[in-house]
Amino acid sequence: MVECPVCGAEIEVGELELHQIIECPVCGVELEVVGLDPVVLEEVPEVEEDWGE
Amino acid sequence: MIKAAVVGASGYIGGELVRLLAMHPEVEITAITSRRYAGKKVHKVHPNLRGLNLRFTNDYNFDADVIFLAVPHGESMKIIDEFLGSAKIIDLSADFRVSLDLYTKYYGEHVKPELIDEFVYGLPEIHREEIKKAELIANPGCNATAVILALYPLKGEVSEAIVDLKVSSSAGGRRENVASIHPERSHVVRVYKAFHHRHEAEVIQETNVKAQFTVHSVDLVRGLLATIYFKMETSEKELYKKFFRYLKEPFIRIVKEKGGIQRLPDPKYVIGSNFVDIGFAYDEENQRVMLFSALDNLIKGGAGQAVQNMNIAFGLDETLGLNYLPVYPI
Repeated sequence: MVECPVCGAEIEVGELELHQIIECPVCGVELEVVGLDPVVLEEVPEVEEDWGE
Repeated sequence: MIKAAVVGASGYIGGELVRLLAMHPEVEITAITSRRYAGKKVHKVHPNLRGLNLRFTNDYNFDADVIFLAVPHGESMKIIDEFLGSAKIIDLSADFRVSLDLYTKYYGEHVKPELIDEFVYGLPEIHREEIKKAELIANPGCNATAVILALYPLKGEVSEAIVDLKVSSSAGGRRENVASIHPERSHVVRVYKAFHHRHEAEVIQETNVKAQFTVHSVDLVRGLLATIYFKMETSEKELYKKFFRYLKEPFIRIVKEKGGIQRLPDPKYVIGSNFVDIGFAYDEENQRVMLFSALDNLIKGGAGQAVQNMNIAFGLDETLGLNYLPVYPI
């Protein structure tokens, strides 16, 4: 079990690979696996609607 | 089968009730009433209901297990004696939603004050257990439903909030009004009530939050969006935890995305359904919480919620006859 860094929900994860993208089943945010031992997840950055203008 | 009657079926909410009840697998509509259109077929008033073999009547002597009162505010309390004791009553007017004190402050004189306490406030997500046993149910207002459901997870932690509401034309009912004719109504973003909107009373009663509504008419036929602002020291993660209480609610969807077309609630994506979409944002620098709540005012804000209440009060699956996904695009 890993905690979602965005919503705090406990997520059940299987075998992970570095830089794999997973989705939090509770808040739906996409998370990147940035560490494996221990598992570290980071929110995947999204393009803003105004393209950063 | 549950025999259902709709009193005041010529308005938009009444028409939606007839539509939803006609498709409900456990309901038989036994009467739809209208003084103005008595004798006319239902599609003469609600063209979308062509094909239903129903005519309006002005005779209240009908056979029903549940009676929906879809009459204007102030009318239910005048006619309710005709129906008391004969069936479960679900009142869609504002007459029995709030305590006498709040009613008097926001609406004025009440002619049936002794009945107010016998009604259950029909917001299933908060009063489900009481609704199961209820004979008299007061269906919440559309704006109030959106605001209460957004604020309720934070009850006790917020005392005041500013509420910006953007509402569609159908929320104003079907009465002729020069402000609603097409040249006046189209393309508006019109503040029609800067403060003291009547639905504030329901929010105060259900959440203890002194909410100040500023209501805008916008260029939509259906739907509304409530944006609620208040200061609070918290975090996005803490807010998520508060809203987790809704994860098992069949008609509440938490909408909070970082990408895609829809990132926070928008009435465009709930139209035609009984869903209320709720989302939030937190400005950490200014410690300001923003809640967003969108619903179809005629369904979750009216007829759909009334059918949901009926399902609960009759021991049916709460979602029966309401399992429609929103219409898209509109």
